Amino acid sequence: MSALVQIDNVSFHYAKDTAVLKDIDFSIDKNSFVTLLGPSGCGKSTLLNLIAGFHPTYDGRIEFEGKQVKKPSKDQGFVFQDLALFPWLSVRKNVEFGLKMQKVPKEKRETKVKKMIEMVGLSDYDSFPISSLSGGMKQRVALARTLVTEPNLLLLDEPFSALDAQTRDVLQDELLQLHTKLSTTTLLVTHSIDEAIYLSDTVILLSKNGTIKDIVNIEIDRPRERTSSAYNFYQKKLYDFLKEERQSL
Amino acid sequence: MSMVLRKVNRWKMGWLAVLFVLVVWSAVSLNYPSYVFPGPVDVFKEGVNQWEKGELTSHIVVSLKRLVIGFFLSAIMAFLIGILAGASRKFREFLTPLVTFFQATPPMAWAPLLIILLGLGDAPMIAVIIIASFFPILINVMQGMNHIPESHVQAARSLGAKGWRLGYFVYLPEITPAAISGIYVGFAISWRSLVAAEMIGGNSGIGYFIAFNGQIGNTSSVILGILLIGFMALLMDYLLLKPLQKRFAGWASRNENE
Repeated sequence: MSALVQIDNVSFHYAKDTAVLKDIDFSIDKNSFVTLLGPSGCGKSTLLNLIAGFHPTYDGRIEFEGKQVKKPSKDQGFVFQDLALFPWLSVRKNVEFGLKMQKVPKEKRETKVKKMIEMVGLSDYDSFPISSLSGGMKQRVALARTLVTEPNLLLLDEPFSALDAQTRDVLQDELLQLHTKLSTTTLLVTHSIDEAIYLSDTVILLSKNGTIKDIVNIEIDRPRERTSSAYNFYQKKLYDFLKEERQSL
Repeated sequence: MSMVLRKVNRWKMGWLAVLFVLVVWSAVSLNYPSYVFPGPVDVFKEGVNQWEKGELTSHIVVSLKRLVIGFFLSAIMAFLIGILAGASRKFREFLTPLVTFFQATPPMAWAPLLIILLGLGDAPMIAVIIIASFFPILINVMQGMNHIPESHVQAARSLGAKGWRLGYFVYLPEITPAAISGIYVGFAISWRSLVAAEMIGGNSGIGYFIAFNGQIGNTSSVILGILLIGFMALLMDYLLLKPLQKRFAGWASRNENE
């Protein structure tokens, strides 16, 4: 396996602020599912934004596909915490947006969009306005809009945090299925221990002070049983980490 | 079903209002000779009379033509400058005192100067309309620009949008609801200003028609003119502004209803 993303000695601070991220080093292998886990304010979303190229100036080096990241790339797909769907467009037009911007010919575009909307189970809703959808459906549109452009790296910023528990479980399974089917390398930001263990190959633990505390490989076969002892083992491990973080304040 | 009923009810109430005005108007007019304060019937007869002469129609056409040209020019300029001002903080700071100054001056106050500068024809009237409607639209477009969610722009960029495509497919729809509010305000101000400007210094248009008939004591035509001004505003609201809003800003009101 080769690294799709290589992060060397990266530090970052917003204007005038103290450092948000310090000496970050890790890499993301192709086809893997990696999660950034940490308490709120640890800079995990900032790190995701850096990799996405939303902040062009930072210390150290971030490479995506062997090139330094300086601006957003169409080969990366980003799903925002607030989803950032375009409310003036229908479901179909939202999903089509990226392909249209990338000047994919109309016929090809339509085939891809149709297939993608089918894949997330929204075929009956393709002409609906965004405002008429439920939270889970909006989430699916956001995923579809990002995945339809076939990005080599999928970046997810706490995508399920606004959903109820049942919908979240369903969508986590759907995300895993899509991940398996399309083998898109995925980097997820979350504050949910369960989500991290259930979904990822690797969990990167970020400390409150903006450094990496630990990198944990989750060695459980899929599909993962939430009640298994192996699952419990990781749960305890990650829970202890977060507890420690809280106490160190 | 209930929506249809509600619609019928709304219409009924609307017509009731019209009837109410007609009754009060008739009652008041009975106390005056018809050449001082004519009643609805006199004004209606005057309307038929004027229609047959054809002069009134040409005044209406002249006013509408000025309105459409002036308003169109003004909206395009306000959109372009508003987008630039939204994108550049320096330009916004440069514009702000100008906007405040022009907002405070009644567009009408410019009319005498504009008539001396541009003559008696369409040009000064179109200029008044531009002065009246440009700033409300501009301010709304600027506000619309300030309220675009950062994540929408980032999402669009990460999906490959840049340059004019980012402007056309993201910025433009984002600011349209605010811009249309500005168009509403600008429209009301410019229509009133146009009529007033035609009254003080025109030789054609609906405002001139009213002023001229006032001077010769034809009160029926004055009232006819006033009614037409209001009626035309209503008509444009229904035929132009409402459909515009529904087509380009419907999503914004749907979102609010969530």
